[in-house]
Amino acid sequence: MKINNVSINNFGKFSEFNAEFGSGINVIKGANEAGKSTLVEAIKAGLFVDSKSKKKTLKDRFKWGAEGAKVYIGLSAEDGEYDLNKDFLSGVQVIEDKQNYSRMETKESWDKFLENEIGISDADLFNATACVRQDEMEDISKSSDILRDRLEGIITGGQEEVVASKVINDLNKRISEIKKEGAKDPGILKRLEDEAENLTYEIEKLTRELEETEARRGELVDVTSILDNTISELNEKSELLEKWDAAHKAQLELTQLEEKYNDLKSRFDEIEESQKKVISYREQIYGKPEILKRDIENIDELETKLRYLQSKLSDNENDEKILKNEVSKVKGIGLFAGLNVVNFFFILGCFAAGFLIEPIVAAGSGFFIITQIVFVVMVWKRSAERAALKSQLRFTSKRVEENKSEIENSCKAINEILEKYSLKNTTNMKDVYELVESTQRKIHEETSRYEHLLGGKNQKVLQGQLEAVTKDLALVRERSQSVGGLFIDPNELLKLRTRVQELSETKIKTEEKFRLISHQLEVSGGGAEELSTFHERFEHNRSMFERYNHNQQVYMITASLIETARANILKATAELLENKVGKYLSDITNDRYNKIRFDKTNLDFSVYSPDKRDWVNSEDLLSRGTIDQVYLCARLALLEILAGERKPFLILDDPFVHFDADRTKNAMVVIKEISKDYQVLLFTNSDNYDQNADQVIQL
Amino acid sequence: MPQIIHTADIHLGMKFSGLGRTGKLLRTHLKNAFSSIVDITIEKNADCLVIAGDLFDSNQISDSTVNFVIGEITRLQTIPVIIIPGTHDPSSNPIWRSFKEKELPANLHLILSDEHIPLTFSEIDTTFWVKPNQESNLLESPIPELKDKSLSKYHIAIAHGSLAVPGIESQDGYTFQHEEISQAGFDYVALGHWHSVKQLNELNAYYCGTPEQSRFGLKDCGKILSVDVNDSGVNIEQIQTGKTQWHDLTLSTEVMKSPGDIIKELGTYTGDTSLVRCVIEGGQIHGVNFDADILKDELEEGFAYIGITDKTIADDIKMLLANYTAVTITGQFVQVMTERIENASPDMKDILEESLKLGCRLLIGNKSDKQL
Repeated sequence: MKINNVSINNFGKFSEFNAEFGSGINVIKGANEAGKSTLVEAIKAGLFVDSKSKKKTLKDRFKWGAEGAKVYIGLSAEDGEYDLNKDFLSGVQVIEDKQNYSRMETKESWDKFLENEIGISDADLFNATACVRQDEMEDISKSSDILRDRLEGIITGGQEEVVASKVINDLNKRISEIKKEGAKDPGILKRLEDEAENLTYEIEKLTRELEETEARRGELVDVTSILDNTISELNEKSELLEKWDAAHKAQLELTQLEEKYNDLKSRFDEIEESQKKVISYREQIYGKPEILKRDIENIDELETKLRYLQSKLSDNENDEKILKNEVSKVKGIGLFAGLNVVNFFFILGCFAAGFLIEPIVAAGSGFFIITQIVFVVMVWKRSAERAALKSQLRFTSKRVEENKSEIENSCKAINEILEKYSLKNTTNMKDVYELVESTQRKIHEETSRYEHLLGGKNQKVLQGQLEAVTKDLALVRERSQSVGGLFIDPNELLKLRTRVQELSETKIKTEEKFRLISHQLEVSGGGAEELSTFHERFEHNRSMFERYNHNQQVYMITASLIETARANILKATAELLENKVGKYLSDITNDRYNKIRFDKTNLDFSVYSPDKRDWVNSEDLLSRGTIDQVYLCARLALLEILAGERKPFLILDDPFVHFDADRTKNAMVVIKEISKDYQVLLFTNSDNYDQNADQVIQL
Repeated sequence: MPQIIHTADIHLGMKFSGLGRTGKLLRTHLKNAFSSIVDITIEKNADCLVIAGDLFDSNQISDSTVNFVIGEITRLQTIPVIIIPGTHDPSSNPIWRSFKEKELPANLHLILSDEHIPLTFSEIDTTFWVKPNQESNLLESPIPELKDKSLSKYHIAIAHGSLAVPGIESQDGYTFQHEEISQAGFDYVALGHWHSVKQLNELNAYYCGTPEQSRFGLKDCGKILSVDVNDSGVNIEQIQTGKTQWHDLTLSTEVMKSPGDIIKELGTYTGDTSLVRCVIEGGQIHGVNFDADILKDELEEGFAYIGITDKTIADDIKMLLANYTAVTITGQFVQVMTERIENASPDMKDILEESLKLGCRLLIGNKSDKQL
């Protein structure tokens, strides 16, 4: 396959550009910014970019101010000539088979054409193999995946579409989607676990609620039973209480009536008794004079006076008697007194004579005189006394007479009074008076009591009352008998009443509780069915969990074994690649390195140094130039492998900038050798390649 | 001549295992079926509605469902409703306790014990005889004895239990012999327990089936019986009440050549009340990355429930190895997998076989899962 010519319109810096290429090495020379890279890009776009879908992405590569661009590539292959036209404005892309006059216009037909003719239909793969750009020698490792797929396809003879990478990626994606953790976007297992946790919580909560509901239901049964028992006992006890109350009431009424009856009866009896007493009292004083109190008082007064007068009389009589005696005793005093007076004067003369004659005799005579004086005084005094006594006697005698007279008057008065009542003596009178008085008093008392007992009513009324009470009593007795005639112990009645009260309160409370529980049960909602729903969801959740867990295991095993199968295949691929690269490497390094081995996963490599007799790791020991040499070899080997019998063109865009003169020389020896089979388009700003060029095109 | 509506096994509040979120919907359908029964009873002006056991599925019934049942029975006004306990809701079931706590309509005759038996309705000259199931599984016959024929002209037995199948010893409770019914002398025996409509050997004894299907694999259900008892026997009319359709499908890849064929076939069963359990069997569908889980997820919206089980078998390994030699990745994969399967434990073998199937499907099938 060879590019004969390229025409570019409005692409990059080219408004119009045409170039023709020949077989072998075409060195396209130009200074920096001359358009070398634009030309490489235009060729790649002309080959690989879909003009329909990639128009927008290519827009910035259009010439400034242009709406679109066109690329034409004329190709010649063993089976004919082809014109590749791409119009990035209209989207038209067509391959004209000049030999068969056929056109290929779809992306699929383009890809098929490129696959058939150059063995590469993918721009990335092209970049990794046939298109070596400056500083992009290592693009081969960037495209390791695609290369591996392609190599697998080559190794497996193209019998199957190589989808292992996609399948493994897809399985890994599925595994990740199943098992990935993280709160933001967790995998299905985590989501199921979270859901299971929530469901478990809801199930436990609902189960608890249901248990509570069941407990409430049980409680309701208990409460109903308590309520029934309470109501039953309450009814029974209330009935009994009513009976007892009636009995007790009858009993009380009976007692009261009995008391009332007894009271009335006793009053009535007392009245009768009182009446009898009054009659008896009246009989007692019947015929007895009714003595005026004044008369009694007069009698008392007269008797007192009489007693006084009698006592006075007695005293006066005694006094009279005494006085008489006294008077009689002092009868001779007068004579005696006369004699004395004579004697006195005699003595007095004697005294005076004696005093004059003899003092002693005078003294004795004086004594006699004094005695005589005393004696005379005494006699005088007795005479006076006698006179007084006589006067007193007269007075007393007069008093005696008066007393006698008063006594007589008093007796007369007394007798008048006694006569008035035909009574014999005052004692009798007083007795009668006392008797009548006391009896009257008793009658009065009895009458008062009687009046009091009657209470202002007359006896008939009282009797009527008594009769009424007696009648009531009979009725109540009858009623009492009708309620069993029970004797109700007030304590027992109180106990019963308290019990009824308690039962009533219990009934109210229990009814309230009943209503509350019933309400709670009513509002408890669809708990049981809701629980079933949650159980079903949980069961479903677990089944999904099992399913995804199982799927995960299946995916993992599948991915792992596809990987194993792939590794088995890659082993052969790697061996092929290593052989091919080793051959080129030996040439390009002048046998400094003659073997290479690739990492099966990333195409990283190590090379064998015969000098060192050891493998050298690319990253650690090799210079950049050597690494580029190895990658160049790998690219050439890959191209050889990928292209097979097909001989595509090779584009080298100043690839050897890191090579020294020897390496460049060696590389060009190899390139020159390759250019026998492959057309080479070498873009450079150097003249160093002119000597190896079959054509030199100056930009 | 009495006309009764005979139903049983409504299983209100039933828990549906393995159907996920559909359970809630199905419980609503059970309630709807009960409402339909009441509607039909009113519409037909039947003399009595007989529920021959298992009105409730368990004791795990909410108060709202109990209230719903009472409300529906109340709608029947004076039409008597006779409910007997079944094996799921025997007399000992606490649900009846909560039932009794409610203010029950006068037309409801809940027969939980022998107390109210027999039940005679003079206006239809009929006596109902019941031997209520006390526990969920007692080894005794549920068929009552017709003790007094003079009570009325017609005598109907209501029972919940299984007819003993000759030659098969059953540990199930409440089984009865054919002779018990043939010799009992009832004009009609209203049976419950079997979920399909069934007449017992030309006797006037019928299982009415469940008024709403509640599991896969049942036939002749979702109905109630309208029974006219007359001097010459009984006239039975089956009336559809069930709204759900349960489809057990087996699709073979020999007929279903592509997932499109499967989707097209399943599409004929779509509906809000449609439940589908589909098994896909046969060889794998070639050239297609067929995934039953993805198919189920995509179709789910069109059904009340859909379950798809992929029981297709991995294509013949020799054929695979012939077409995809060991030089290919698929060939290598099959070879490695086959070796593993040969040496695997039984549990692991299943997983490995599934992995083999999946790997082949993905490697040979189209590049995209979405290309069903």
